[in-house]
Amino acid sequence: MNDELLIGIDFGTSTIFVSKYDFEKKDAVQVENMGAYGRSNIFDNVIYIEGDKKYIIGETKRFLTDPLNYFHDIKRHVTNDNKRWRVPNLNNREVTAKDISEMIFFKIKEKIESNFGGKKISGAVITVPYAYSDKYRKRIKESAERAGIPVIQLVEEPVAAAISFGIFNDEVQNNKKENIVVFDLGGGTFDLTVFQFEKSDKQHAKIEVLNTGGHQELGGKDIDKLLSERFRKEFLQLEFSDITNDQERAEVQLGLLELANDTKEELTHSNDSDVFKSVTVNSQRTLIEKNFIRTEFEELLKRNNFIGKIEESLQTAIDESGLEVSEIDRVVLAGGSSAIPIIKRTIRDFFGFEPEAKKNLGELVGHGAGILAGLSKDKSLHYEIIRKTSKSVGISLGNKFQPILRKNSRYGEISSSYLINIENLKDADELVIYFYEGDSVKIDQCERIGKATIKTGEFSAQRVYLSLYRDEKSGELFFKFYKDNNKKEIIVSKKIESLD
Amino acid sequence: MNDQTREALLIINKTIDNRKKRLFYAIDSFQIQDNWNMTKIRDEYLLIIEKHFSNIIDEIVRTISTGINSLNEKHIYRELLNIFNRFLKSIGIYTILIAKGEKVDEAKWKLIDPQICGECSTNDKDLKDIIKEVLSLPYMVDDNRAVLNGKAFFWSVK
Ligand SMILES: Nc1ncnc2c1ncn2[C@@H]1O[C@H](COP(=O)(O)OP(=O)(O)O)[C@@H](O)[C@H]1O
Repeated sequence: MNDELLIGIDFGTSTIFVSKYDFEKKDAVQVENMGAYGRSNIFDNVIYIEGDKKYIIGETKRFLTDPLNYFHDIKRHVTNDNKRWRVPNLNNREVTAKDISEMIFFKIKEKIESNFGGKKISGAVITVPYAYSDKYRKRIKESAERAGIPVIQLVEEPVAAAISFGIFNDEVQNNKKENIVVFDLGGGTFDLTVFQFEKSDKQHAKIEVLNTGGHQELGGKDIDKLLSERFRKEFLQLEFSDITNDQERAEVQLGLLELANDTKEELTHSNDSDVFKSVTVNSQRTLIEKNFIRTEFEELLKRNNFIGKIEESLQTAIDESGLEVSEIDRVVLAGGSSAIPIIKRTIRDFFGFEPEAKKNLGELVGHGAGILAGLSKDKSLHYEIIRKTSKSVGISLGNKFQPILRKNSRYGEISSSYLINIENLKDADELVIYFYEGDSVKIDQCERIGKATIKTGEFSAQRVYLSLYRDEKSGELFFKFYKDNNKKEIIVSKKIESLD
Repeated sequence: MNDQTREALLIINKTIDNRKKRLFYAIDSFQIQDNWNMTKIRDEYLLIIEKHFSNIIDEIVRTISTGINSLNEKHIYRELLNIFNRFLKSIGIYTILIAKGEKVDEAKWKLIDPQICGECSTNDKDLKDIIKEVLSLPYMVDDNRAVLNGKAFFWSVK
């Protein structure tokens, strides 16, 4: 029996979850004791840097006592090119989000390997958001590799969720094409993915991503805010800014958010919640005391258009997939906030049937990553995954974005060609073309992701045709220049250069 | 007993009432998964009970502490806290001492949660990991584990 250490890492925005492939069970199982002190398996994606190669992960305490050596929300910063920090405990060395990710991966590796008696990780699959462009995917991959983790591949979070859900669910029949929606509402983001899924048995499956959508900034934290605002207005009758003492204000704000979070989660399984807390405001004790019923909570979500946004996103995601609502066979829930009854009801009313939650909602993605890690070594597994480009890629025409490779083009599919006129360039000139990624017609709403540099001498033509495609396996972007519009004669074909 | 003390007692009662409901719900909905062995079941069960217990202790200690800090009937609140701690001790939950000015080592860090603090900033690097003020003590159970972490202000080195 193969006993290699193959792992899946869900490197989430707020939390991390690690699984390990079990060759006997042909399934991924959670790796335990990964959190800082407790017995938690899902732990906060935060790090405290004590010194060179001395890190504590998953523990939020140092935020208050040593904020300059403490980092959170790192995954959000991975997409920021300019962010740098000086770390006092590293002799004020300047670090990027990529460096900090590397430290987190270093510690993850150390913990996993000590959990398994010092055995080395022989391969890992790491999850990334579907919308991450190459640039950021590369950053995540390299930071793990520099930490000493051999990366088998990256996998998009919803793809991992679909694998976890589809493969081990006996209700998903063999040899039947199913259209599946993964509905992932977490703490800060909302991701919708439409798939076509077909398996012939547990070892053979085909997964095609039809469309991705959702909302970059919508999640459980927004609900906590709405509810805490509600409590503030009803019981304190003052603005937070009216609380003069800094410490008291921070305590009240945090206290109300905690109370809101508590109440929200209780209303998931109970029809009402006895809200009770005493807070001290301007040295006066105030009691927050109320029997809060679920319908009132639901009204709040409706009135503030939280539900409306969910419905809109669902409609757009299905429309863009090219399917009719009636063609969707299943909806799979992921993410902690998907457990909320009115959210489930909204989904049910939209599709006309109940959504399903098979696994612990927070573990679905990491579980899928672990299965994929196993797939790489366990030759009995054959999954084919057809991915699609999540945002259009193109060039700038003044202030306008000109898409060339369109959203939802398959990986491997070569775009139609776009005419570029190079009449004015001399032979010795270099032609530099920048590539952008986005959903907008305005270039400043899109993101510059790479470039191509070509010696014009190579062209020997005044008009050339440009096509783009993504490598079928890695998803990396390539460009091709043709002499003609029929894509017959290739002049150059290369990988897009990164801007890093 | 004055009105404030009466009110504090009322809050304590209500807190217990309020949290009791949640504890019972959590115990009711405790589910054993197929692949759990005895140790795992024990751990998971304890985890739930501890979480809710710590919540009750937390609210009560907080209520009493506000009394000790801001009102004139300090001695009554001190006594209340003593009674409460004695009761907890009789069921196996005890406190350990942490003190102002103490430098916290890695083992103790596990037992203390630093609190948001308005006037704790300092440039003095020697004050790293040093307690500026103790707010409440860690509450422990038999095998040296905290059911409820202590709370303290720490110096925050900028
Ligand atoms: N039972 C529940 N009812 C309502 N919301 C929940 C419940 N459990 C967790 N949540 C919420 O889910 C969010 C966390 O989602 P999760 O998917 O774990 O995180 P991530 O942000 O990393 O995707 C939090 O806002 C949390 O309050």
